[in-house]
Amino acid sequence: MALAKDKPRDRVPVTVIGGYLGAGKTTLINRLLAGDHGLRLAVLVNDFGAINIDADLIADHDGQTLALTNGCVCCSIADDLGSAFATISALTPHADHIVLEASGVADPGRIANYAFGTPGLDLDSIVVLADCETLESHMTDRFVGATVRRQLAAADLLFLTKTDLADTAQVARTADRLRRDHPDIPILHNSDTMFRWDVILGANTNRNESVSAPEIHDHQFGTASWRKAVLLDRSRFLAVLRSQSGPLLRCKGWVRFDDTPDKSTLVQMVGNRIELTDARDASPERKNGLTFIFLREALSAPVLCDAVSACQSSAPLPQNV
Amino acid sequence: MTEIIVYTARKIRTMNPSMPEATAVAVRDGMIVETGTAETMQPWLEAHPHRIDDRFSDHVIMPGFIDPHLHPSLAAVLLPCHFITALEWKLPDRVSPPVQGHNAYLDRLTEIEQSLDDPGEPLVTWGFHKIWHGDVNRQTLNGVSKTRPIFVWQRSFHEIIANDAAIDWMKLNRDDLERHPQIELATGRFFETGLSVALEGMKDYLYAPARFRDGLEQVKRVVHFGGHTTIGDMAVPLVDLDREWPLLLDVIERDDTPFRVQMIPRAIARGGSMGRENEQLDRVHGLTALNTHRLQFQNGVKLFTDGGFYAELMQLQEPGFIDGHHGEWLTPPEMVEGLAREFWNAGYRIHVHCTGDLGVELALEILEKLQFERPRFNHRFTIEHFGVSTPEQVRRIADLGALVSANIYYLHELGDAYWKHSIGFERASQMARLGTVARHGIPTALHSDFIMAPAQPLNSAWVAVNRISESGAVLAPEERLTIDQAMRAITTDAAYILGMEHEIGSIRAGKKADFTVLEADPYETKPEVLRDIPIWGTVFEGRPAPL
Repeated sequence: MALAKDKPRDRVPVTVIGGYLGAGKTTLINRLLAGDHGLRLAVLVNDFGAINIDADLIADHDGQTLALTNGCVCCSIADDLGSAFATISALTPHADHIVLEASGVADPGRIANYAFGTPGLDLDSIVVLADCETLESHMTDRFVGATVRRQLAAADLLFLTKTDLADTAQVARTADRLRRDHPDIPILHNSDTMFRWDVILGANTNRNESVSAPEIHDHQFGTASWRKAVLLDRSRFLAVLRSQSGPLLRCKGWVRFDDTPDKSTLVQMVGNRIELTDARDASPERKNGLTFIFLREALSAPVLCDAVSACQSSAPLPQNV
Repeated sequence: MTEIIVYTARKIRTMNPSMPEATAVAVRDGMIVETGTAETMQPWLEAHPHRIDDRFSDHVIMPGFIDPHLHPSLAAVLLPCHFITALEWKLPDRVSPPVQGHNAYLDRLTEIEQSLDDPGEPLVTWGFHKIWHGDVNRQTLNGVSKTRPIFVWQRSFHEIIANDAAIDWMKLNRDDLERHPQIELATGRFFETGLSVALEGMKDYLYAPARFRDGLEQVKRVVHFGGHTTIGDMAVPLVDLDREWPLLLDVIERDDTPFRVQMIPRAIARGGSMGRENEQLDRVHGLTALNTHRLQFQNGVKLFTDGGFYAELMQLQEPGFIDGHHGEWLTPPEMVEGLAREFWNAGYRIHVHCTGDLGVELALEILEKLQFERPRFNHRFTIEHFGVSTPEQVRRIADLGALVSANIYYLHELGDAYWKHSIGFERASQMARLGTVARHGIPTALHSDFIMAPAQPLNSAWVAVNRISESGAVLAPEERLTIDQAMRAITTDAAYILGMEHEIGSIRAGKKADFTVLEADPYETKPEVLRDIPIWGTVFEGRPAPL
């Protein structure tokens, strides 16, 4: 598959929210719609009726679309994802980010393929929710076991939900099981993360600014940024990212590699999925720099930044940056 | 009072066990007033004005055939396509001859291409399957035409192959196509999620109202051609009832339409409904307000469990598929249960699409719960399609009072292919185990799911009594039906499955005068040539409709 994309920044990023019935997808989506992320979100849902929004926030409602006063839009998929995408594409101004709710039995990896393949869209991440009260029984259920296990395996980030409802032993057991089955997928608890939009949506490079940090302090996560006008060694850099997957949740930004010194490369990492996209050139607006979101208990900003700096190539950076 | 018309025939197979054979049937105002012989019906004839119509004196009359499960609207989208099929398809206005082998396929495609007048008209063909037609790709199709858009739609509907002109015609950005994981620009293949990109590009053409109307007109001829007088549209709407209903009314609700359609609505519309099943019940309940003479919503409703059979997305119990892939659920199991409960408690007749044995298992689990919670007799809960099943499930179907409506054509078209490439001989040969079903006394219908199988009840019956696969092998002869069982499955039992057995399905006093008129008696025909019996035409509500 060709790596070169014409204008990667024109594509609207899509976050796919997966998980079996009752995993908490609707709760998350209700919070996203009313959230203080500062983004103009387009949210595609299966079941319009489950959306619970304060009437004061609703600006307009016509059949399949709900427009909110904060600029967000909610659209019903109604068995036709293609036409829902068409509705979203026709919005002016364009949405900053699309959140797509996969149905309870859908394989979110397959839904992500739709998003990835639809003109004008780009996949940001697959976030899969797992209700820690019911996950164990669902995973072994004879009807839905295979479906649920496939959903979990497709995740870039796994969120354990309803941790406050289940007893601690069950939460721990479920988390252990997930870690054993999916050692390379970051597993997060939902206690505060539902409000931590940069974990779910990533930093939005379309607007050339990152999503504002949440006001509440969340001890689970740390952020870091790395900025240095150097060339990096591609394979060493990739090795650093891979070695940190798990504790490192997200990494995004532009860098320049010594094997393509005249082009900027877009780095996008969510969970264990890493994409490097070479731009056609090195426009000055693509400033060398990376932002990271990580789990504080396992990683720190200096460790990350030092590890990236250590990938510096001996070749000098061309003058035009 | 309207005159009585007495149709005399070489033989009338009434499908009424109390009087299985007759030679005359008296009809007034679309209703049968007496079945028997010219002599036995004298009291009626002496009392009322009448005339004898002996045009069927060399023919055999059967009750009008019934297919309780096809999809007219989907067929309306596909019938305007050019058929190039591995197996023969007989359609009213054309026969799609069996085309097997790579070169034969391309020759036929070229022939069609050259027969089109308008050089810009897209050529959409359906029926391609690589097992029979080899590797057809973008370059091969460019060889057929560099300028005309050509779309090859695969037999299972899950893949389209396009030539360069077709890719340009869809006006899609090649960069977008290149990065799509399920589009191969080099070969021109659009599959799985890539297919939806192609269909989006073809949508305005495929669903154009004029094309849809033309398609419905073709469906109408196909239904008549098969000898049907009643069909079930087993999932209404296709996409959008507001758009489809006016066209259905326009084309079907006309004096020249010799059949009626029972419309069975989807239990779920517009995404999900967890916790609000009552809204779906209200919606379905309200649909009867639309009823006309020929288009009728009754108390049936349609649910879906597992994925498509041709697409190998049925849910299987262990040991699953040879290649280890998994099927899919079309509706989450809990949602199927919630909806089934709502409609069960409201007294509905529930039809559940189940293709694999895990799908059947889910439907039976739910039915068992519902029977425990609120027992019902005569509920007509029906397993639809019935691809892969187990003998134990059949016994449970009987225990729970459920019915079976089977797409027996699976066995004919896919028996060999699934034996060799999908699930192995044991389970492939026992697909649609109708012999076991009959031994348990379960009322059973045969259906075509048109366009999954030809809409020809005699063809379905032929598969059921012979179980001959595409290669000519006889698969699980223990599961064959007798001629009588197969004939019941396209008449009386099919009527029972639609809850219409008091009106149609057999020839007796009081029922609608719906007949299928044959040139030979199925009961006296060799089973191997059952499907070749010529059909003269039908009588719908007393009115003859020759083919």
